[in-house]
Amino acid sequence: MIEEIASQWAAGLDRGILPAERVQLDAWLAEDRRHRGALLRAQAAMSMLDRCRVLAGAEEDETANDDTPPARAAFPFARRRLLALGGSGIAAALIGALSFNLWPRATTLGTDTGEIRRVPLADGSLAVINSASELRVSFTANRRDVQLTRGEAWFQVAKMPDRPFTVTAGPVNVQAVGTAFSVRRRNGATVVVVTEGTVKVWSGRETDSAFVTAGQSAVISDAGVKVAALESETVDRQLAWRDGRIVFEDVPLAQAAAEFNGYHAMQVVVDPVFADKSVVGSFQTDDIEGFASASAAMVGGRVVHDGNVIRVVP
Amino acid sequence: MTGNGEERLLHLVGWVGRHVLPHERQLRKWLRSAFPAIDVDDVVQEAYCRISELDRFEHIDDPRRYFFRTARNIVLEQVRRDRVVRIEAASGLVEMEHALDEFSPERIAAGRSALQRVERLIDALPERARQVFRLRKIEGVSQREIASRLGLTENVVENEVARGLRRILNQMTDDERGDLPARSRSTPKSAASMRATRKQP
Repeated sequence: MIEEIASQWAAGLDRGILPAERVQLDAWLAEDRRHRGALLRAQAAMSMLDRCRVLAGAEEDETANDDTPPARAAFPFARRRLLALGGSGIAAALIGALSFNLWPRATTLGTDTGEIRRVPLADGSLAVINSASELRVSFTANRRDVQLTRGEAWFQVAKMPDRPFTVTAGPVNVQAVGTAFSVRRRNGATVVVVTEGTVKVWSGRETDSAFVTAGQSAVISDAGVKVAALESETVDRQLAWRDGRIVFEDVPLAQAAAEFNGYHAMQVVVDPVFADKSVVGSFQTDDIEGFASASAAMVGGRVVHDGNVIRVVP
Repeated sequence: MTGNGEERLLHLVGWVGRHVLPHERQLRKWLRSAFPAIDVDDVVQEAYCRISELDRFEHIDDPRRYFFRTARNIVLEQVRRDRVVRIEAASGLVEMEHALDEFSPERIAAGRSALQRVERLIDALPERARQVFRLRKIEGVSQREIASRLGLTENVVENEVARGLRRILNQMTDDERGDLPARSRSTPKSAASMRATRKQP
């Protein structure tokens, strides 16, 4: 029973565990990701009890505790890396780095509708290219230039201070030294989402540039550059496509369907009565059928197949 | 490096104790009435698991809403995974806002009085566990010192702490226990019909 073991560990941590126990605890935590959650819950309850003591107005007699500080005996949780990449991606990046000299001067990398590619670049950077997108990559000894001719891509840039990495999307330039960000072109506007470090963004003259840092996004349109902070949840959601997922949080069904349709030849068509109803959820981008039927259920409609079209109708 | 990780974890534990755990009972109540078909324990467990994986939580303005929303997304993913879309599960999704409002009086009570309730819970433990918890948590005596004061082995003290903690956690979060408003103790079936009537404009 997970809860019982978690409580036992919380009691052990409250006492202060020994190195040998730490090893056991780590092993238990590694066994199942749910163990962490259960331990967090038990420790949180323990911390509530600690606050009781404050409430009861007990003397803050910390010295009595110094040898075994209550929750101090923390344990090494591996920090989840926001941008954790699959092992295969890393291996591929290494192969890419080795083939540096073989990399042609300018290369076009494209994806078909529904295809998502992870491409290690010659400098050790990684590009993840979303559905129906195209990149032109051209690296020299002093510069790393990437042109996003259509669609969206995310980059994890290898650090090279004297060799700037610049992504150009139409008139928009995004420059990084070593960082991670995505660039998306759609309907005249370009959206930049930064997940690590800082990038410089400009459209037209480089002197009119703006800096965008991790956790921020910039929308560049005719109206200029607009930088805004993003919740980490929003960042995860916006970049879910890299893992083959698409996440909606109260998005109108018509808009959700349009996003999904960007990945498929088959199209979801939403009856106008449902267009503005909102949907939530995390979907596999390749599962358009699942998306259609879950959405239909959410808005109270049903699904009708019609050749290459899935209709959501009342 | 690890120092930061430990620090962060301590903060997270405190934050969950203050802002998340006190709402677990309401969450369970809502899940049970909105999604009669799901395994509530399973969803709650997964929600804590996701919270334990958070890199940052300082930006979460409304932890209760966040907790509810996390659980709701888990339900939705399960519904999707099962491939059999249950209409009733999907319809409950719309009603979270409703539930958050509906349970808000309890929310106000979740702060200070939750702590008083915890103290009552300590007092309701069997005698030896009660002694151990009062010494440890209210007077701040170490487990080793408690063992020597009460003439117990340290092992026994630690087991009392673990068992007592588990009991307190259960009482704090179990939505089918005594001190609830009667309407929320409905069976899944009547919860479903209750939902149906609430849906009328």
